[in-house]
Amino acid sequence: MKTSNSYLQEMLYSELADVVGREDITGNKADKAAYSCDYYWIPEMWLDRGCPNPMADFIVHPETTEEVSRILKIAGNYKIPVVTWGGGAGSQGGALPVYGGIILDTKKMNRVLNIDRDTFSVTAETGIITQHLEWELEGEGLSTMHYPASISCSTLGGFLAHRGTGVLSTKYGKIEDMIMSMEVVLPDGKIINTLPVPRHAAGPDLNQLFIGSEGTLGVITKATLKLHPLPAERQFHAFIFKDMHAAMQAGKEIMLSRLRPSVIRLYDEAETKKLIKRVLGIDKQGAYLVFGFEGDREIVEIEKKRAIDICLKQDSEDLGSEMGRSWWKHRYDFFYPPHMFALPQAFGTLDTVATFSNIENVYWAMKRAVENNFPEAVYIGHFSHWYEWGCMLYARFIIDNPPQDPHEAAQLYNSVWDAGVRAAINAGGVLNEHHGIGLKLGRLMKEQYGEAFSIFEKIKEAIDPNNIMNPGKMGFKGA
Amino acid sequence: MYIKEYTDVINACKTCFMCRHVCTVGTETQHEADTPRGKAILLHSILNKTMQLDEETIAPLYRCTTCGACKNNCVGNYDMPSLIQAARADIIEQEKASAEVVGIKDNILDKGNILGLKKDIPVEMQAGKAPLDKAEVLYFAGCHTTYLQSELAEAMTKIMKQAEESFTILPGEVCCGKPLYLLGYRKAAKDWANKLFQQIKATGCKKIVTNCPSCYDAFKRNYEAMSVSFATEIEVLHAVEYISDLIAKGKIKLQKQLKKTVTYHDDDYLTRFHGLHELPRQLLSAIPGIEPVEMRWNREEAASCGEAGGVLQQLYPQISRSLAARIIDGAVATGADRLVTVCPITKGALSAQATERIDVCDIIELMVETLM
Repeated sequence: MKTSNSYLQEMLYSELADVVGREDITGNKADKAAYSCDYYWIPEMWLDRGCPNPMADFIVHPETTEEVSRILKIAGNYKIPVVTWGGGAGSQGGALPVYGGIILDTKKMNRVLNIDRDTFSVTAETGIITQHLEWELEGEGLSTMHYPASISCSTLGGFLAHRGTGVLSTKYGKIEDMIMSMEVVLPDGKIINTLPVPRHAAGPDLNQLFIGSEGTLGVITKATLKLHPLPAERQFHAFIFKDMHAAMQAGKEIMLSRLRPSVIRLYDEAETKKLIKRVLGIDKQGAYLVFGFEGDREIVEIEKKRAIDICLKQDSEDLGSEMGRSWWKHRYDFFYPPHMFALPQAFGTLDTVATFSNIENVYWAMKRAVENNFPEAVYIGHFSHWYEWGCMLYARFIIDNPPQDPHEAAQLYNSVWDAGVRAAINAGGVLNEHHGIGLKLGRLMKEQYGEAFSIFEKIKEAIDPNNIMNPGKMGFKGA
Repeated sequence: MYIKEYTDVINACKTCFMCRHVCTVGTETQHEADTPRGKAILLHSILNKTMQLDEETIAPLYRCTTCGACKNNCVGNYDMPSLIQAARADIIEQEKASAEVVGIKDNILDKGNILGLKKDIPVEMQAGKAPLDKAEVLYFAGCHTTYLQSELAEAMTKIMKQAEESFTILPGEVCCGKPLYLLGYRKAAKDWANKLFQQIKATGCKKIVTNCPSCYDAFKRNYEAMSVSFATEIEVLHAVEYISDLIAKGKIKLQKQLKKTVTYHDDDYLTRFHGLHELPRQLLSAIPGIEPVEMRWNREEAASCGEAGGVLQQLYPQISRSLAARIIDGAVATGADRLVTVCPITKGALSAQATERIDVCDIIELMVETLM
């Protein structure tokens, strides 16, 4: 490390180095630059345009829970902000060190601690890249079935902290459905464990207090998740519907029939025309829908036939299983360059979720709010996580040529978000489905929750009285 | 700046996280600056002059193994290894290389090898010395085989003699120049390549055979990029290609049973840059009694040892040791008796970490065992 700019920083460096060792703390500018930008468009835009992003003072790489505990005690003593960093691939600015302080990178806590074959569960440290966890489980014929597009980028802790979801969530649930128990280091350094099983009547569920808390209440250091055997059969089938509404009717009926698809993905006409053609090479007019079933072959065949019949009732074109498998094979390709939207474009994912009664209204309300107020914006979307009662809308806006001035670009960007998210909330949607809140959407938390947000604020004050944990995120007060 | 030629890579990678899980050094140090995205952020900032090339920004650029795992994983095929090499060329051009980097260059230019050892080929290698000055085949051992793994030179020449090949070696063979290119010394690398090429041509050889993938890649790709092309005059072969050819022509026969379970470690260059992942496996499978087993990470997805030119071992020995230890863990998990490599640098690195957990050998040593 180069010379620090204050005595306090020297002291902080010494104390942190005493915990993690000098090889696991850095304050050099190359490292700090790499931790100054996550997947949130505004810091990416700032980086692109040569505006320096706010940086942490130090990055530490603890290797044990005890080291995390000692780091938080030091931070609490000096009232220094701590931002927990997993993969840093969040799209909401949640891992940005906006007040400086300490970045606590969890990725050296990446061990798989136990695979319990009797229970079908795995206990792992939460800094593990989720793809690495899956690879290890695959060797055992098991899986969490948590397959998000960011599986290669993000840590288990990152998904827990943001209520993440994977492409097979329709059958296996989101990360909050997969959790059994967790170890958490509280802001004062106390190490706690939630109960060993997720279903009980011993008071409120502590797992669900910390899941989705985005590093504002502590650091999740270990987690036990449910496992599933790799399915004997995994099948996909694709259709083209004349429009999104017809496809939605089919998707809804599949869910209301209480079939158990692993996935349903419905792309609106615009995404079908652009992305499905570009990535999968399927050049069709209308709305592309793919579904999957998996498990025992006989059950899969029966469920698939039922779902096919439901889709055909809507006068759809049967693209067969090959074009469904193509989606599965290329499911992550959508997020690689050059397929993904990229600077200088401005883009954002206005993901939301609503009941079947409201979801199409949410789609159209957001579309109107975005395109009518911002003629330069294009609105597209797909529906990708389905529940017994509704589904998630992965809506996106794209502005090809946002203003060159970073301030103007940021203002425009935030205005689109305000308009889109408020329209969603007014139509029965919610702020977000699986990317989290972070810095990006914090200002809208009070609008979404109303008086109920004060409960979160009181919990935050009680658990983190020094406000050292990721201040200024999720709508909580800054440092 | 050389990196301007790769602005497409910088722009794509600076906001993309998708390959971080396969990044050899990034997954070891866990530092964001060591991931492809982190390095693209630094190079973008250097291009737009918000950061400078200095000790702190240069270090991650030399920690990269240029193993190509990121490019292999990339749907868009963005060429991070070439970007890193361009960045190093800029560092050299701006005379900002670290003392360690300069030291490696000086070793090659002054002593003829990356290790800085004495110029003469060691005595151990004399036993396998070729009998001819001019021949159809030139055996090129490379620095690590010559000075650290001379048993491989002996094994290689034994095979060639058994096949009754007309072969020679360069008197006082020097480094292929790969490390110069890898470190960013483009002019020195080109001058070196030109000089060595003339020496090689003087042997009258039609084929050059090397058991070192770094030398192989230098002759096949880097020399080509520096307009020193073997292509029209001399065929460049790695030992596995050459030996496979000898077997196919019936010049050698794999006779002796070797009752061993072996696991093969894919070399970065052979596998990811030259598509040679099946040929070594076919060679192993052709040995009577051999039972091959695969590591969890194999072929294009194999874990890298950071072998490229032996540079990482010298600049960042601790990272190099950790990478080797990961591969040893993977090999031990297969239950194999032996871990087979095709690279002298890799053999050296893996052997040092294997302790007594698993035997490490080169494929040409196995060949000798089954031939003799």
